Amino acid sequence: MAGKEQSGGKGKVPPRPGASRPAVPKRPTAKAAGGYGTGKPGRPVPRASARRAVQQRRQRNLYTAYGAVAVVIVVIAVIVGINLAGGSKAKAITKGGAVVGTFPLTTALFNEVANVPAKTLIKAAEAEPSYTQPPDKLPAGNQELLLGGKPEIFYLGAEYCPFCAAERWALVMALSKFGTFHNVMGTTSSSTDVNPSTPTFSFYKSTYTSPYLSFVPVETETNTKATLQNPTAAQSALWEKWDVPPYVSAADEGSIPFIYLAGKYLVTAESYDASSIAGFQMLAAVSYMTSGTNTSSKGAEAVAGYFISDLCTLTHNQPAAVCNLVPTWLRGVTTSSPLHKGGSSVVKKK
Amino acid sequence: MAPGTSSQSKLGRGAAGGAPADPHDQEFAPGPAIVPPRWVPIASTLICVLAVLDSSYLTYAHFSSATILACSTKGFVDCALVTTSVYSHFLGLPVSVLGLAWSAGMLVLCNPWAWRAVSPWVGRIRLLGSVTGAGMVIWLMYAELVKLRHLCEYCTLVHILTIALFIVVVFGTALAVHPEDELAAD
Repeated sequence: MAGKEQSGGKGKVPPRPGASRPAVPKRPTAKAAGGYGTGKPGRPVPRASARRAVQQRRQRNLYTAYGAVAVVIVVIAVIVGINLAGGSKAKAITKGGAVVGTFPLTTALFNEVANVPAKTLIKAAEAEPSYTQPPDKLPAGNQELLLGGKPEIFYLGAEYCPFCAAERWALVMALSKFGTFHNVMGTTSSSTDVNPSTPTFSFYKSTYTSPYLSFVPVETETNTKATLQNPTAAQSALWEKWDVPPYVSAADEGSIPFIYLAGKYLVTAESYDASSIAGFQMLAAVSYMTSGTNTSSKGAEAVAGYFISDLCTLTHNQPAAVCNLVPTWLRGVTTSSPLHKGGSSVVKKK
Repeated sequence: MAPGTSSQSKLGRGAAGGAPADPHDQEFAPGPAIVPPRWVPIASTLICVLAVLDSSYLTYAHFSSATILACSTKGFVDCALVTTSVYSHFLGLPVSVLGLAWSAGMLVLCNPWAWRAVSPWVGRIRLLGSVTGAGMVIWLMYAELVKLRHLCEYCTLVHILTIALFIVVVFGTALAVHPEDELAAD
């Protein structure tokens, strides 16, 4: 009892509000034997200084707690502020909520798409998802289309075209493995067509440099159907010659997208469904389309893998770092039917 | 009766229902490393239970279908977009699974018994867990608000709970009484 009386005396640190005092067993101390606090001469009395030290430590802890919480709240406030301020530099001019024309893309954002690893794309293509279509194979005797001594990839599309919008995602992913894009802008398909306002890229005024391939894009109209570019006579001739049955149905003759892979392979319709990103903002679409976790993303990656496999055939397996990833059975992958019925023509040899 | 015996019974320690055989032994029985304000264990447990429930739903949604999330689509609040984005995985693991594991772990560390743990390491791990949770929330909010510019309301609820738990744990730890120090000051 002696210990209890002494510890509960006037020298005790009072409990803080809200704090339940600890029910701590008291250990025998010098006090119990008439030591500390008894005022006996010749003995140190450390009680006051110890109490001060405890109080100072509590104060420090409390300040640290306030500081930590303040830091977290400030960081969150900054993030919310960035969002409210608009955040991205990839801003579009909009009219009635729809994007008009094109908008700049940050390099980092574009690279998120361009830098999807070749291995990922080829692996997606190896699965040959039923909702994707590899390019058609053109007759073996057809003359190879070259530009500057390199196989020419001719793309004909338009910014308003929702099916072209889908193809561009795969083209950017695939062609970036063979060269480098410059000045690619962001845009959306028409807000009044099917899959309205599908976010995508515009190849208008873009350039592409590659030691292996030449890429010649033509975007005929904006997403509000204002004229942008007209194909040359030679390009029109290719389009008129090949964008016909049996490569497309009679009803779709002369349609876009039209992608002519150096006279060896052909795409005359969208190769996968990107309707799930219709209406997305570009930032969100980039994340969605590079995640590999949804059908559209998997579709784009698989189609990019098909492109890589065919392009490797055109470049004679250059660059090796990319083309060596393509299994033999996937090289030159095409659909078995020009009308996209029957899936891939290749038989997996696993 | 030895000093503190009745209080020990309230804490559930010591010999229940009778005086210990050796009162001197009980006086040296180890006490809790810290004793927080009474509201802290209650609030933190409640927050953890809610976090476990919410993250369980998100995990279920992740492994079934993102479309079961009852959110609007294509607007600013779009759970499907967020939970299927590239930011839905962290170090190769689904964020929802990590969130569930974290919530369950924090529930273990934040229940009233854990707050009265004898080992000081329980408190340290709890503090570290809450700081880690807050850091993760900052990263995910950055991903949602700056990168994706879309919010998932279920994720946001977990984020709010995580920050609330961070505040409770930090202040609970700062305000806690350290019995050993009290003894030294007595």
